[in-house]
Amino acid sequence: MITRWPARLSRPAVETGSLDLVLRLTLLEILLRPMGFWAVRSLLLLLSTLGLLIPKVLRTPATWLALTILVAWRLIDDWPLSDNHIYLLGYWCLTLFLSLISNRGSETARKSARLLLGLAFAFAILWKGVLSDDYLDGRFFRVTFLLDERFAHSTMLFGGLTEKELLQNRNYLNALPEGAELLEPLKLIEPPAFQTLVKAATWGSLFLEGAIALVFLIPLRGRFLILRHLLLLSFCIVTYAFAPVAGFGWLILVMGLAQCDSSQKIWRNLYFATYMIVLLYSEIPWSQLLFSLLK
Amino acid sequence: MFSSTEYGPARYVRVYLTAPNRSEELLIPESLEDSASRASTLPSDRMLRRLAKDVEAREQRKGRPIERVKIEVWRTEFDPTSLAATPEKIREYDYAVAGTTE
Repeated sequence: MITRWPARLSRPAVETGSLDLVLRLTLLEILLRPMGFWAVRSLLLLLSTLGLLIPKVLRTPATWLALTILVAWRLIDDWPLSDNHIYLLGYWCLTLFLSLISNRGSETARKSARLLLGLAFAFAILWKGVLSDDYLDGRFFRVTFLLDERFAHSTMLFGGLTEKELLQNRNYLNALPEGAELLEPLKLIEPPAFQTLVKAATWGSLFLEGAIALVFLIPLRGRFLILRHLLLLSFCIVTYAFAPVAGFGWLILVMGLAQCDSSQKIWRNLYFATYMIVLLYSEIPWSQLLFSLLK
Repeated sequence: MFSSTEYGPARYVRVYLTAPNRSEELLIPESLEDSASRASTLPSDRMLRRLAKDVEAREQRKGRPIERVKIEVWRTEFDPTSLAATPEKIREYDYAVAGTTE
């Protein structure tokens, strides 16, 4: 049995069918967001490039085992600083490795992706709704929209704040040393549009993520399966227009794509198109351009 | 991510050095940013000790004697209504450099 393992690891899967695009888009994500220190980064880039160019490398289980080890190496080296989606990427590479050594690759990937997606969103809801003490009251988005530079233009566009007001709010949110007081205390400016934006982001995220967790974790059949695709695609189209974490978006889109078999061409194309939309979101500073245009 | 204000910039460390004839706060230089980020993200004994050792090594590289390193981990709390920001100390760690008297 043991002697058969090296052969099994290096033998490309004969039939990957609908899994091919899933494998390719996962490699593309690794190429688009290089990670880790030089050794990890260079090996990840090399393997991903070879996988995209050579079908045998793409479908060989050893490729995905190596990618899993490299992502795990990065997580250990960077502990505890890695973003949560790098953990998910590690699980995903392991899933693809296991799928390629199994006899029913697409089926294994489909089931595992469904559970990974369902659990990832369920844990997000657990954090937002139960464990975090400053999400449900809106504080998280109030603070993030005002302080995080990556949201600045969206906040001004949709929150009705001017550049001067945003700057004043940032100064207001600077903690003073204990006991210190300003001679002229600053005021926080939160126009009605900003309050609406905060509420929409807080409750919209919670509702959409909760719905995704639910539809991916409960067994669905027939036409109800469409709900999974609809909710996941809607989440990605809306969220990644604002959230600066395209890597996570691509990863969950690839997992959604893994739910589709070869006959579901429309859904497969929609996942691919959304992957490209998220790519454009991440590279085009659309909110900044729109803000400059309207200013 | 995207669930709490308590991430990244909301947490920071303050490092104080004690040496013969001096006691001062160290402004975190670029060379210590990595271990400072790890310590503020996960302020365990191991991470704080690692930061303290990095501080010790840096001082020794510069030929400056050092006796103790005190690290404080802070987070910013935002008031639920007014969003007024208040610093809150969440961890303190004291490191005596080997070979120095307590």
